[in-house]
Amino acid sequence: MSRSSRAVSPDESPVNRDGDPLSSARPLVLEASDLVKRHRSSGFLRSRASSDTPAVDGVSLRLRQGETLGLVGESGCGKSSLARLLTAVDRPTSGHVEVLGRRLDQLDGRALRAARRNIQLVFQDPYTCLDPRMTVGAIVREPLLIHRDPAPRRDRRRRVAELLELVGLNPDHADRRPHEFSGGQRQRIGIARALALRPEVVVCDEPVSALDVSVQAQIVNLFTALQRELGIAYVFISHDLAVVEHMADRVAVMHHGRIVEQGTVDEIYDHARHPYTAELLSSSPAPLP
Amino acid sequence: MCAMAVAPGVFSGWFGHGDPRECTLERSGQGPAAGHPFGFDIQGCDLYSNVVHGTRDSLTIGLLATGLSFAVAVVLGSLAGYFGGLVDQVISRVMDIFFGFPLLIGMIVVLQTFGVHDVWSVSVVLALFTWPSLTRIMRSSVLAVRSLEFVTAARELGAGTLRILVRHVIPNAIAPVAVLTSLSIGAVITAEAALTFLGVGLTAPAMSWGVQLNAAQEYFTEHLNLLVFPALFLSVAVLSFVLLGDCLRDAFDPRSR
Amino acid sequence: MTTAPYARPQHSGPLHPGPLQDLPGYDPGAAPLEVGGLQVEFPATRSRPRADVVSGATFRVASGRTLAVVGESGSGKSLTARAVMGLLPHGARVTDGHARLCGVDLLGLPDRQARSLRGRHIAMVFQDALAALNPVVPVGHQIAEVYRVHGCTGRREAFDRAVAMLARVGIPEPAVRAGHYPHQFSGGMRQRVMIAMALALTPRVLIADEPTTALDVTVQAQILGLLKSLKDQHGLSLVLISHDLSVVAGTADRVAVMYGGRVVEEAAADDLYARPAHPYTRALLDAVPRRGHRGRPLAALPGAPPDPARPPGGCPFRPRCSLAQADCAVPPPLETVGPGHLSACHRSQEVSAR
Repeated sequence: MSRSSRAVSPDESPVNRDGDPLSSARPLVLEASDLVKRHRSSGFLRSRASSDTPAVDGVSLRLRQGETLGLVGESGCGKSSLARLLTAVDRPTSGHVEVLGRRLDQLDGRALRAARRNIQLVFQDPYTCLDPRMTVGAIVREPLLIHRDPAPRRDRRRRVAELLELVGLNPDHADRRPHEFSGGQRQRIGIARALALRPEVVVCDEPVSALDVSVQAQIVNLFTALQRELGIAYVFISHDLAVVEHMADRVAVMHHGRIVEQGTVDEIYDHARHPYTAELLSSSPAPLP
Repeated sequence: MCAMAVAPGVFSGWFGHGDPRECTLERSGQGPAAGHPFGFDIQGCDLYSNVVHGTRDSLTIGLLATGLSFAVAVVLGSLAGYFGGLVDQVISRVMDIFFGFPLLIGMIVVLQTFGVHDVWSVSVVLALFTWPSLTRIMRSSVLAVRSLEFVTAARELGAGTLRILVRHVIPNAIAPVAVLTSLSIGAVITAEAALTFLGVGLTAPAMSWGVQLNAAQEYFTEHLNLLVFPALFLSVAVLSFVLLGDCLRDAFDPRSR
Repeated sequence: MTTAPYARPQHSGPLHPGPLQDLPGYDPGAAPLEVGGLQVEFPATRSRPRADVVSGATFRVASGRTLAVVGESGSGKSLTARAVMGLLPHGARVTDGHARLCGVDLLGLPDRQARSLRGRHIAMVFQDALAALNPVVPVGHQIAEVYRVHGCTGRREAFDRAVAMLARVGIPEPAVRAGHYPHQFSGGMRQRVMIAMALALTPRVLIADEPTTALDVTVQAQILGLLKSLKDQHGLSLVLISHDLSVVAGTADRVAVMYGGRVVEEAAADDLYARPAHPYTRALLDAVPRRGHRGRPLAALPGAPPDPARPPGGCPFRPRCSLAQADCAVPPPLETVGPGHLSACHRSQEVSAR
């Protein structure tokens, strides 16, 4: 984007700065181009009126191996819809998503399920993201049953124990059910499940917002440690600017379904160019003394 | 309590004093006597063994009819709730048609067209008219579970539709339907009795409580025992299935395990 | 604690408010709200044991000041507020302690009298404004009803005053908006309506329970600003309940930190942030990500908050505390550790010296 066009109408044009703090030599693991998602409100006997503003409106982003992209914005800005598009839970109205160079948005059935392995989702609500009827061991084992190759049958038990240990849970608790765990521990279970298939990319949709402050830090630390250990790339979605700043290499600011500004943490937090970013920064609680 | 209701049905052969079909007309309508605690019916048959043997047919119909409609409800409700769209529209409209029917009249009309009135045909007809309400419950509870994040998580892991439905959606959505089903066993037994009482249900050689009540309707002013004992058994059975429903509700909550 | 009840008083017919001055214990010089030794329990039921959800909450808020009560889920902060307002969820009951409004103990008064004070002299704003407003009544009428219930005015005048109140909380076109239903307002505007309703009778004390938690950051800043300016205009005493120390940092004069059902530290805001004297407060402050810490792990607290049904004996923070020693098995009292600075820790000197 040229400087002049931004000055004319700042709300229309995204501010894109390709300041890439990581070496561009690292391979791209996730690439989204011009993603648009309109929610159809149609049905039998109901008017098929075209819906108004799309939830996601022309979003493009790229993620390199081992990198964290912070995605900030307020409720209703389309962050969660975007997360569902990136992970192929929903299908975009237009645009495409590539994971490890493979397009997800055109695949179907078995091929889609196989391709999805490389991109996993961590949810906000530690209470609804785990099946309450399954034991923790069964929850973490499920991905290994669906995809047979990562662990042969005899190794599964050991692999589940490894995963639980990796996220800081006691493997001896594998036969307990989710309701016996605290919010922070459940979030760890959800992370273990997401990591079972050794994904390259993990999309975290507000993973710490439902947690107590003293537990948030544990989970944030877990995410950073896992990235260092396993080289995962994160799309870290949050409304909490302080947490995103701590986690992210680059930050994208989302507003009304668009990414209005993208750049490194320093560029965004110290030299915000888009008025919306500036407003967001000024209204977030002052850093503690 | 739950076991008490079922036990006599299963073991009815052991409880009956003698053959319920061993009748002597001279004992017709007599009151309780030694060895025959409930007295005799109008044909002179032992009423106690009749009532006890009647349990078998009444319960069979109750379980069979609700079992059938439960199975239909779980399958159709899951499909309608999970897939939505056209599948949902078709299933929901068919349910609406059934809801528009006056139930008892519908059952009478359908039963009239059946040649045989045995346990199977009566059960099928009863099931035909109980599945829509169960399906509706199943559908709405599947709708609620479908939007929970663990279902999205399973899709994300690459689980197929069948696996998601069988492993995640149905186990979490089935509790309300199961509870309602056990409640409706009582209602179905009552409905069977009502149909038989009206003369379109089981007929004489069969021995359900409804048949006995039907037989009693002409004589109960003189022989009250003919009405009281089958009715008492009927009420206790219905009540115990209601209680079974409550037990199930507790048992389905994973927190109580 | 799960569902917010309608904030309207749950009774019919106007109340006859006994003037606060005539009630036993009234003291014009006393703090507008003073809570002492408050204990709330959920009695045992078939499925769970007895739980002391609040076990000794003590704080006071001075006239025209803001006290922030900060704690995690299960710390008992919301139940403390609800006990003061007489809005405890079904089953919970106050077993000990007092809550004095200008010296008058709300918990010791007969129900009817206490009710007439609540709403008139002390009011509350909830986190979930959508659940706390009646969805089928236009907001103007809901506010007007507050005036009518407290028997002050006629129908027309009550409505006019409701519109004036909406204007005061910064709702544009108040006369038009008064006729709208709650679902027609955005989250922030709805919270303003709640505030207007709470302030309708110009109470002395306003309790705001997580008023901005459900809101976006930009709106959160506006609502906190509104509360602050209303407080200054009306000489209101504000109790701001929050789970987040950084949210209340710009608004509170004093901060009380709750943990495991009790107040573990209370101090002037600046003092608390600069020199925390309780290891829990210190850990909370350290756990917040700040600039220039990127890449380094946050100082995370191990473990999880205590379960009120199975409290650890002694100091509730003992299992997670790095300074815990044998004497922590005796619960430390809330003591003065500096000018206007209270802490419930045997090692408070060590903590503040760090």
